Amino acid sequence: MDAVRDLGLLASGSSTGEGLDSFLQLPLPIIDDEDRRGKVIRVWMRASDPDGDVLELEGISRIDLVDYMSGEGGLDDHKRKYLYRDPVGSNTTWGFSPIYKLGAPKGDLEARVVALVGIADDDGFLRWREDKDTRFFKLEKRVLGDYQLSGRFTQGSLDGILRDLESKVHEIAELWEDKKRSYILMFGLEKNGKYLYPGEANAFKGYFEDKFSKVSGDSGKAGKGKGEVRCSMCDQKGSSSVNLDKIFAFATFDKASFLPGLDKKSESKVFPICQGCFAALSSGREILDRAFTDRQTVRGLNLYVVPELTLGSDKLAMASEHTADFVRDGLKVEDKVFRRLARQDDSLVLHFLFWEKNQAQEILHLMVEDVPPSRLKRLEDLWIESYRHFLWNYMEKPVFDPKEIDLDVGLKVIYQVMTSLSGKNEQDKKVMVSRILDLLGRLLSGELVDVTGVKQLMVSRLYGLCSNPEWIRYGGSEMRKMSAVIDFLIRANRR
Amino acid sequence: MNFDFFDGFSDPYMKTDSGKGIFVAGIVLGMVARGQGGGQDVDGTPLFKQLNFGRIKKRDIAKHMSRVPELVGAYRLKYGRLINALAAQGGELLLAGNEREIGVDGNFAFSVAFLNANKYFWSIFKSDAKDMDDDQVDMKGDN
Repeated sequence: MDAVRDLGLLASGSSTGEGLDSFLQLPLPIIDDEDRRGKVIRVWMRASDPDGDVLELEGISRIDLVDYMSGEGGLDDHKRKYLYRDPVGSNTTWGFSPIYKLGAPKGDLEARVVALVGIADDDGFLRWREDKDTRFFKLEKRVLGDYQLSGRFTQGSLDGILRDLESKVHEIAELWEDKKRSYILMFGLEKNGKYLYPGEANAFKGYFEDKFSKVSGDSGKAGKGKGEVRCSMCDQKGSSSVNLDKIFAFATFDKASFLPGLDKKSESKVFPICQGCFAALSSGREILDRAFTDRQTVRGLNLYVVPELTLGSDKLAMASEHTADFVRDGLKVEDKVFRRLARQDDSLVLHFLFWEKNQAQEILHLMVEDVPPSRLKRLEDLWIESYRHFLWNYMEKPVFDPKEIDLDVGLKVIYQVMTSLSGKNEQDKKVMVSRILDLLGRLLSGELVDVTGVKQLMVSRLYGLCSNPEWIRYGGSEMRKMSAVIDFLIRANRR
Repeated sequence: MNFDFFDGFSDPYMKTDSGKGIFVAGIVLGMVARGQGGGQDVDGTPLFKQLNFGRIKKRDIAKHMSRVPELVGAYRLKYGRLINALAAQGGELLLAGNEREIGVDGNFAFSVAFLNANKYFWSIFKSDAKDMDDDQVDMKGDN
């Protein structure tokens, strides 16, 4: 938690980390590959007074397409312009900003129109209001509808916008065409021929602030009627606080063993956080999501890699340039996560968090704290030895080159081998994923691994595997991978 | 015969006579099965079908190993001389190892060796391969 907070503070450049900036997120991940980078379909809405706190909308003047994160300014400027924050849940009827994630398109133009507005009835009328699978239905129900309900759009404004949008559906479908990219539909305002981003319009900013203060205020049960509350992070007393669940959904209250979590009235005592730390943690979490998340190591799970400077976040200047760059830039430019981590120096430690997103739920599977990069380097060296003996193809490359091998491949091979041992049904696969996580956890934390157990598991599945002609075709290399894994685990167990 | 590849194993079982014996037996029987298949998939061969991978007992291996010279002759296997020599060496190692059952470790080692027989066979007989005609030696690794 301290490391996440430090990341947030580092980004805000202050020790308080206050202001709305800390709570803003990016609607799409930043992708370096130009062919896969996101796109923004901008909707230009006409309003009688674009700067007003309440918008009287007159319709849509145009729709265009721009690159995601294009235009002037740095990351923070873009965040301010988009004014985005993930909705608080998947079943909410409002979002924080007038942005709707269209995702990647599927099918031809006609299929995309159907995805947007559904199939027209025999009379040619569009029935998207009755078809909850259409994008327009979701757009109205989950994003735009609440602007009118909450009074930020005048009565009747939304109908005009949706009518115009309907008439331009083919235009949108044409822009939403590249299957390799993710798209967002963003509603801004036209002002003197210029596009006002949501973050540049008072009405949208006001709406965000209203919603956000409600969310952080609702959870501020901690402060209600109980006088001052101490922040669990910085230990400062304050009158208003939020709970950790507003930052990490896996911080649930149902931990009966750990505090009065099962008693609703006492929820606030579980992990109260002051507004300053809330801002820093929110900002830290946004940085984790954007720059320190790996999704390759275990399929279906997110891996947060949280760096923490051993000397404290204010000593970044004392860390090597290489390490400082890493803390600032994160993992995004690097495919080989563990290779990069293993090359950091020990002025920082790493915390690993494997978690899974399931709708609004976040399930925490494994947390390994305080891993020095030198431990990863050692694991990498051990893997290189195992690879050399079992997997290097001397026929193709007679000279062994350790530079071609890294820990990422090692973890990938462990994952592949272990999943190949699981049964076909989902339950078996889940059990195997938890075994894999146990294994990774032990490797990362430097604990002993039960190699005999792993070998036993492999041997118990051999009979079945050998009777499968598909498997036996690659049986030689599959067995060599198993040997490499066993060999690696034995090496890792040696002190 | 060159058994240097055993040095690369970190598994302590592979440093014992039993471990080495089982591994060598796996290579020998793997080569015999490949010979029986004559280029076909190994899982269709008579020897493969008699092996219960993962559940093999020491006496199964002893039984199959004792038939190796007979099978080499009956199927006129390529490199028969080398296979027989290796089988003799494996037999000695098995006898020197005094474990009653091969267990999990043995089953694992046997399966690795059996399914990678070609690779390990030629790393044992590297120098012998140099003395042979090119067309006699199939140095292709498994898969």
